Amino acid sequence: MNFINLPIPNLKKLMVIPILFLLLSVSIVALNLQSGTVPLGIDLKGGTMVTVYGDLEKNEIIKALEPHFGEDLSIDTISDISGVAGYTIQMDTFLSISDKEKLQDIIVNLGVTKDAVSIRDAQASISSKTLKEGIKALIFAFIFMAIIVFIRFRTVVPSFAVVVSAFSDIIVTIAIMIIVGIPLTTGSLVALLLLIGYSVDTDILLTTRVLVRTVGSFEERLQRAMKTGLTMASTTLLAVGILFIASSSTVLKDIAIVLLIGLIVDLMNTWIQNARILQWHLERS
Amino acid sequence: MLEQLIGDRKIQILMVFVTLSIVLITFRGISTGLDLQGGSLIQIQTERPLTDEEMDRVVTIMDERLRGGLKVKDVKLKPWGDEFVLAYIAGVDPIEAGKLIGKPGQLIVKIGNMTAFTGDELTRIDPFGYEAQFDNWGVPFTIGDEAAKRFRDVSIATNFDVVYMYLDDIEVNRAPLSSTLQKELASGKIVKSMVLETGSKDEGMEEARRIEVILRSGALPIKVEMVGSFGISATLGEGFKNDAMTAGLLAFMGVIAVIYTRYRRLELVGSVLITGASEIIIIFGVASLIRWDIDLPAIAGIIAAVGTGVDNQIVILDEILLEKGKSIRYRIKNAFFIVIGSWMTLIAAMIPLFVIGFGMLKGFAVTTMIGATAGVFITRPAYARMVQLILKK
Repeated sequence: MNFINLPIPNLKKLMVIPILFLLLSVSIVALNLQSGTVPLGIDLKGGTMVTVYGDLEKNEIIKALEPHFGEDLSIDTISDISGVAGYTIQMDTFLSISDKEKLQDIIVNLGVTKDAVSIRDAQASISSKTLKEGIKALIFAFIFMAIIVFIRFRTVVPSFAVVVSAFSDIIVTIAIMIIVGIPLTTGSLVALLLLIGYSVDTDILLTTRVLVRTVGSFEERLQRAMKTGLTMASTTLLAVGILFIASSSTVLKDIAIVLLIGLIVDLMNTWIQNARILQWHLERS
Repeated sequence: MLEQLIGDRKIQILMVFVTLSIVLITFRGISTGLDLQGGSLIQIQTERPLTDEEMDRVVTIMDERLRGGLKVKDVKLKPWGDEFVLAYIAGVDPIEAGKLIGKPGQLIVKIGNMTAFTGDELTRIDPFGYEAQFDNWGVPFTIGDEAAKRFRDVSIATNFDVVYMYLDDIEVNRAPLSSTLQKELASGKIVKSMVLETGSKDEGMEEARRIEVILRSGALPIKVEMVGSFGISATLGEGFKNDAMTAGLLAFMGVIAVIYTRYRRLELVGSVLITGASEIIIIFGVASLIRWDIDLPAIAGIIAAVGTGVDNQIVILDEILLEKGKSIRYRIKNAFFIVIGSWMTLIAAMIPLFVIGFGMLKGFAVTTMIGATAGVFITRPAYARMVQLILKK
């Protein structure tokens, strides 16, 4: 691995890329919000999710459940280091206790113990409250972060650049989640919160190194900051990637996959968008 | 160098905190959340928003009813807003727990196989008490006129059979009619106030307490409904715990490998390792002190805290290595400008999650904030000193 002397084209025009991404993402998110097609996990939209760990075939699960629970089923595989660890079975209906018992019995009859089955369900009343609270937490976290950034830097353009970068990180990440079909869950909402914190970390590093320091030209200072930033990003990406691959818990996987996307998006928004805004700001003053 | 390290104030502070944490963890222990030890989270909604007082009553009654009905001690109920209650029950699967909460408690009292009265017909339930005269615990209760008439008629019709009490179709108690009561009923009298006797000693008292709760929950003034649940068996919980620890360990090793690739010095890798490990120990120590349950989100929070911690260490290291031309003290000061900014924004991002505490993910906010705070004030100052000493060599 060698981070030294990375070629950074001295082009403010590069700004076009993150701006296009942001505009595209804003429209994707807005359109999907309007049509109500943002994919949500059952904890945020209501329904039932069964997680079963063990040596089963996807087809036999479908075959066993379909006569009783209809077409409303979607089955996904959970993998960890050793391969297929189990499956998640989701449906939009909130089952009565007796139906839930039936569901559990059918799965147990396929040859796993009752201990290997975990059921999570939610009715629309509580899931919509959870969603509202989650969005509220996200908005407040964003506002608090913005206030702290402005207090910290006390200058308008650099602070604004940090806040815009964090905003882009979140919106572009959500847009990618929508396109790829990764549902928003309580876990992924928490990952978005953490992303706010992480996004600002790299931006503060960039801003401090480029604005507060005076040794070297802008590009030299940017390169040094990037060297540190990319080391940070590679450790974090690796850690989050390992967490995603190695854990069998859906909560941890939800958190990890969203962070993974967000961290990659943040590379673009910090080292292109924010960096070029700062360059423009320095040249102007 | 070792002498210099041990003699340093900041490193001493770190050692004190790590030692204290180890003592806390050893003697006070760490409790795990239900997704790691097995159990259920049941989300309950009341039929309408409640006042604080009503909420209090509902929580108390349900708490008793869950403990009694499920025969488990580890039950925690927390109101969420003014119309939701979250019940955390260790060691019970949500289907079993849901049977008790899902429906409003429907109490039916039968004599033989004929229904005498239902929970709605109870007009008054008194606190359970001890009758010294008979060395017996019991729960006094009163039923309405209609119910009392039916009670009399049914007792006579069944020739004074045994009285059964069913809660949600599950038998919770059976008792014979006392001879005095039989005589009174046989003479055609209506008896509205009775005592359900439960026996002597501690068992009698326990049973009386349970019966009182059952009678009261049958007549719970506010309807409640189970609107969500989540359950995990002890086996799965154990698996998750091992998995999360393996994943965390692997992630940490991966990070160490990147650090070594970039800096090529084992002492620097060692200092990152020591700092990360200290942070984990201090997080567990504080969690033990405040008795915070470690669950999966909390473990994710620990990984996040240690992860951002490593990032901050890279900032400190690079500031010293790359930004030459100024004094080392000045460079460390600069690094801490970034580190403290990162700490403040992380706290800012986590406070709403902590306050709102949505879903089961409050633990994530708690461990992240503990880790980040310990990092800024305890471990990173010590780390900066370690790095200074290593690079001076």
